[in-house]
Amino acid sequence: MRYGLYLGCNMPAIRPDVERAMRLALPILGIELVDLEGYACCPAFGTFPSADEIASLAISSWNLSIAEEKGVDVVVQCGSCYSSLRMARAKLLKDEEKRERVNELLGIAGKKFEGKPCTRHLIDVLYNEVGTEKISQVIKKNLKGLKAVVQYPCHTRFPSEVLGFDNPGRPRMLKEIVEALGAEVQHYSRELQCCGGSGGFARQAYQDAVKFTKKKYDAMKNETQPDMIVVNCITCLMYMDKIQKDLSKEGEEFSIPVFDYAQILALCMGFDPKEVASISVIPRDKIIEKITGAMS
Amino acid sequence: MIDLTKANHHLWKEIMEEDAGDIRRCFNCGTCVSGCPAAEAETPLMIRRLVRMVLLGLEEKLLEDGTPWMCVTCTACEEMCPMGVKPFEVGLAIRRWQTRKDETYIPLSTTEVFQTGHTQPVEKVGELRRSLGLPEIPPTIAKFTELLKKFQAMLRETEIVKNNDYMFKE
Amino acid sequence: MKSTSNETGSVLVVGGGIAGIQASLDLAESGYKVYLVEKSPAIGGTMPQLDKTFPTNDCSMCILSPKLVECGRHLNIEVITNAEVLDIKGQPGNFVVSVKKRARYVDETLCTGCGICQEKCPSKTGSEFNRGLSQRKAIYIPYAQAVPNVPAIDREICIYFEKGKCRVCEKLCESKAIDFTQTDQLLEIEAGSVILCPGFQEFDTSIFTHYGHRVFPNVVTSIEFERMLSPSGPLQGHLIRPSDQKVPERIAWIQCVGSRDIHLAKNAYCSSVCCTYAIKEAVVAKEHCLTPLETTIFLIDLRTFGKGFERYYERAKKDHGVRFVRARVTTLYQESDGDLTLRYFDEDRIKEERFSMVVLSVGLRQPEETKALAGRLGLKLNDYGFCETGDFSTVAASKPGIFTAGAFSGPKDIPETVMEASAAASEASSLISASRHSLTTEKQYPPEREVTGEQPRIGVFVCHCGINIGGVLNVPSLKEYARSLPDVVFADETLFACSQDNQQRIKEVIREHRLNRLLVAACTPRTHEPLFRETLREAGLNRYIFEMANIREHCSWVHMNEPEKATEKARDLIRMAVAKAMLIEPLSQMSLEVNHTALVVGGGISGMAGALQLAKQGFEVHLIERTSELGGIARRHHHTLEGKDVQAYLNKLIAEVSREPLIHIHRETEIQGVSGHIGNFKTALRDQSKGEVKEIEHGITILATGGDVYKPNEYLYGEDPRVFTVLDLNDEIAKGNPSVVGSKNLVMIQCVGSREPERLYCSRVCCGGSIKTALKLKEINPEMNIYILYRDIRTYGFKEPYYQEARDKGVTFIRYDIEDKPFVEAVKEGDKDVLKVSLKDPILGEPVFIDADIIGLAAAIVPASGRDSLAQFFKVPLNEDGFFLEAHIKLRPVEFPTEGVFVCGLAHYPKTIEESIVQAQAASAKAATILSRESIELEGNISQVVDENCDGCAYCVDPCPYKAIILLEYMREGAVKKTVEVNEAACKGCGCCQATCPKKGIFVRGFKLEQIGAQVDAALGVT
Repeated sequence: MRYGLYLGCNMPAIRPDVERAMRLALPILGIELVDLEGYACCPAFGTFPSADEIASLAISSWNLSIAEEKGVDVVVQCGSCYSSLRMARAKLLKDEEKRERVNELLGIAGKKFEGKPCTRHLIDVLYNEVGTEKISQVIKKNLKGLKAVVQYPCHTRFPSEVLGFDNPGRPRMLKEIVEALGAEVQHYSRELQCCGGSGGFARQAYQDAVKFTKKKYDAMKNETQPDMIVVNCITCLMYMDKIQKDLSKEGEEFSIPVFDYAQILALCMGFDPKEVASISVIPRDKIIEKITGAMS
Repeated sequence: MIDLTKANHHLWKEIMEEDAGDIRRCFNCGTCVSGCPAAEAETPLMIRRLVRMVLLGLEEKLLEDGTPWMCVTCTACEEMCPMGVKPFEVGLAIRRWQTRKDETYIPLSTTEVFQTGHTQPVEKVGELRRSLGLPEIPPTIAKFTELLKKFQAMLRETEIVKNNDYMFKE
Repeated sequence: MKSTSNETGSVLVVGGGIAGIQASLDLAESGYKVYLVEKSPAIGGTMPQLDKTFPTNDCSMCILSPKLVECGRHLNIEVITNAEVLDIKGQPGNFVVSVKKRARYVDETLCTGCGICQEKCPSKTGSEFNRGLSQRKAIYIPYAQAVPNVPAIDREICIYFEKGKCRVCEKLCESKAIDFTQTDQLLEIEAGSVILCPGFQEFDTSIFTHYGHRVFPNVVTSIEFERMLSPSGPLQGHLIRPSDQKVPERIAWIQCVGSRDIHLAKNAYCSSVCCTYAIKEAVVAKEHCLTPLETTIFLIDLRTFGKGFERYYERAKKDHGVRFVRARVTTLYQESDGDLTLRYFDEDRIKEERFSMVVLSVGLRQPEETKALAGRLGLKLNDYGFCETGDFSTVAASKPGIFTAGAFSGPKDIPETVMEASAAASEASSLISASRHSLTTEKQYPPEREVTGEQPRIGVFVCHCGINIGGVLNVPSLKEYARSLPDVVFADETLFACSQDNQQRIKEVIREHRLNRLLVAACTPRTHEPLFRETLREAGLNRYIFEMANIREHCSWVHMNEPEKATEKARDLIRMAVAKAMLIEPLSQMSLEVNHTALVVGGGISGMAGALQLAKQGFEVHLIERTSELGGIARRHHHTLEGKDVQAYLNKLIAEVSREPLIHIHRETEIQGVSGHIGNFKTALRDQSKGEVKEIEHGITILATGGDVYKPNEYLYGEDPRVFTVLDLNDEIAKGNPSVVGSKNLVMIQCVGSREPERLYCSRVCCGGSIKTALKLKEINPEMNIYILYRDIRTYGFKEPYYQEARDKGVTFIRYDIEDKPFVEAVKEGDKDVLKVSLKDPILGEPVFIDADIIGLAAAIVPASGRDSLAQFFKVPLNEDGFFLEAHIKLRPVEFPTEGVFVCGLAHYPKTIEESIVQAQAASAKAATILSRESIELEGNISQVVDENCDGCAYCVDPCPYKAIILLEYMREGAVKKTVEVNEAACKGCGCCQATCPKKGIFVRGFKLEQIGAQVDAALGVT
């Protein structure tokens, strides 16, 4: 299994410990990671897609063309990168005129888009290509006795006809790969509610976004007793971590550690938490201690 | 009172560019808003209302409306819309139309992506990265100045950059 | 009337739901042999699964049951269950149909239906009938009142078929009915024509993963909810929710699940029935809960377009407190206690609301297996997978000689299905009418045993009616009580007195106990008396020695909260009925010859279609039209919404009717008077142009008097020449009026005169009509701005895609509320005179206005004038809106309580041309069941004069609504004796004469004063 590793912008700049976790953990599962040298922003929906569609498609195909040159499919952790790259490819494959226009532009940079490489989300690859059995087999430590809730990235669910791999209304793959690490995954009513962190909402009306997300945290707290929240999207990771601090300013104490899946996977494989899980707002030390102290 | 007779009946074509086909199917069921996180804002994003403004041709009203920029891009509206209207895409199209009409709408992040290839300073966190055992600069466009030049040259040929070149600095 | 024609005098009907049952009965009653092929082990279809039916809230199973039993025991209907059609060969008139009959492994002739096999069978699976809410065995009878009431073995889960041993059922069956040696059979059946009624399936919810059906226990589909409500369902009608068996406090319905969804569901059409069934479920659910229940229906457009539906909706809102929210819901959160939080957008804000249960109003679709059937038979399907039908004949499939009825050709409700069934029967028989009676046999009854003079021996059956009665009254105690009453020699209880197996039992009991009176304590004689009377005849007794005690409508239903007092009352009712039963006597019935001529009133499309259908079957028809031209209101329609050419069809129809020698057209003719009755009417026709009156004789009458357009007094109609009705607008478009077709801004306003307090019905055709007009205008002038102002867009069924097309073409739809109607004023805008239309756009939440050049008003359809006198002439009722009121809104949609008179077209209710034609065909099918007979038997319960008591005061003459009584004078013992005489053929036994007579000189047989007196005495405890 060879995949081009598309990191996006946030991960290498703000949460590089996740990058480290991916780079360490995935090869152990037999995933060979190829760097997509010279990749740029996917682009994020708030950038070129909101200003110029052709420019936006040109940037996406810039990124995809790199994978094409290397002959690999792309694996992505960030939900919105996944969505942006995948929707761009779908649009270009469907619309010949746009494809031509984009190739004209790419031509300036000496690149070409043919649309061969497929963009896959990490959950998809782990569940469907690696499989839960293999994950359970390779880990050295497990999460037995820990309770988790999971956050499915919206951008991997909708629109399902373009980017769905799981059941869009009742996803289960993230849950199952977390369970493969030994944790108990608990459902709660608002499990599928968007974290609220992406796009303009949280930026332009932060207080309203906090209120929206608080409903999710209230439900989580009332209905489950999670030791951690497991996400697999950089925005979910950053936002669901940070917002707990803002909620605590309003007197609501949640303090539920948030991990990216790659991080707990790497921890279970025995990698150094200082490398793979060192950056967070809500302290994660206790959980990390439990994991690193646990016997496989 | 809004005068529908004097509205711009071709606005939907202007906004939707080539992808105009499906927006007119909207029958105002409200599905798009019912699943929208940003509809809970004090000044809510009501995508149905925006679609309505596009279809009725309420140009001025729409140009003043900042709510399209509140979208969280979760795309639930597009998934659930029974008429295949793709409200998410309509929202993006409205943003693009607004940026065409009024350059103050152009997101600054666009110029950042033009300038650095990224929305975040991936090249400025070397120390942190090194401490984790990662290369100081990730293998992105930030690492390859030649590529960045080509990238910018490519974008120079796009409408947005051509029309607003003063904003896009190398 | 045996024939020597070459056509086969039989019809094969596929599908044993209400459509198949109705078509079979109509055909069998008009002289054709019927093979009814049903794929499951029992006929019945969907109706037995439903709890109540809208808009009358009749118990679905109860109104179906008599038809089921009649179908099951009809001599000329051969019910072939567990069977499917493989192929049809041959020509119309002479088809050979291959049918595969799967082995039942139970000998239908030996089985007594005792049920021991079902009880002891060790293999279980989810019951299809109860939609998996309960279990059934490998050997099973699908439902309690199934016809035939014989189990079948499901090979798929039978342990013997799986493992080669078990056969417990065989060991326990005392009548040796289990037969594992049975094999599948291939039958070749000859039939002159074929009717397909395979029904429908509800949408598969698995594509709508966000609703969580089958994941969240308290999210159920509407059909599952019907089973939960049904007295015969797994909960016995005690509504509790699945997750924790608690009584729900708040239930939400989500409409359009799978309908009107071209994205996830890929269905462009509207399923037509879900809005009204959701209302029904919401109202009925409240009745099923002893604690207060809040009900909310989430909808896009509310589509109560059928007869009586709008009032039903208003009642649901005002009297029952059902809440209607215009919002489509897709986000459901299941709370830890099983409740569901729904997130929705209510006009201007997001709301979250918690419900105990959610019901998904799933739409109707065609399952793959019926598509495969259509494929095997080479029938065309439409874009939506339903059977394609002829342009103006919606019961003709794409191959000659093959017809369709019910949901196979599109989603529809029960009355429309029943109409189509009769229409298809009519079409199917007109093809082979020369072979009528060639394959049928006459039912032979055993000779009637003389019981007069015998000491009464009364047998009593007390019916549980599932839990309708048994859930409230103490039935075992009632049985014991009945047993204790004088002359009662037998009493027992029964789960469903009306089921087919119970009829067998009644006959056995009559023989065994030598009964000479039968009393059934159950429901109403209105629906069930004919059934039990037939059973008596089959048992060799006079059908009139029968009495019913209505312990359901008069007792358990109305006193459901006081079971003890209700049981006390039921005892009184039974005691009264026994007191009467002691005194009842056998009655004889008069037989009358039938005049084989028909009278059709109204020369519009309905009248002509009905007349033509009858003529094709060989009956002479008088068709009368009060104007000088045939065609009616259809003369003003140019195209249908679907683009069919109305004028071409109309001209063809007029030509056919004019050419038909059996049809006598009377133009400019009105009815002056009517006398007579079913089989023998005499009607005086007045030719207006000549001033002549002539009398014709006929056996039946079809009222097809059509409708008219409401003349608006709103929106400047009649004051400003730029305001038209939409119908007028169509004329202007046809004429090419430049100010119309060239206008820049055109507004159409819907519901003008409809859905108003004074006309509380939906005119049904206007939404499609205005969209048709808009599409036409867009075709002529694509730049025209067209605005349709509406309350709910009601493009039901396959009209929905035209609504979509109109939007695709840029027609703007703006919704308004009845409290806040659009305002129209003529103003000067600059130098231009415009019609300024202002209203609030609910989507923007702001007032808007349009400077219109032309306004079209979608004016209501109203019944035609002259209906009052016709109603009096033919003794038929009108409803509160002036439309003729049929005998039963569900199952007798073209008949009246007055026999021999039928209704169709706009006279019944607003409807499309195609729907009018179907109803006309249905009316002619019903008419044919009478016209094809040589004679008919009249009721025995009619008036009788006691000459000794009558002094000829004539008090009774005027009150008789049927003009059946005349005053006579004759010489008796040398003196003039005055007396009255009853025309037995005209008398309906209503009893007005008996009530007015001061001298006991006249009485209704079966309701003698001493019989009623005995009942009263019994009620008061006087002995």
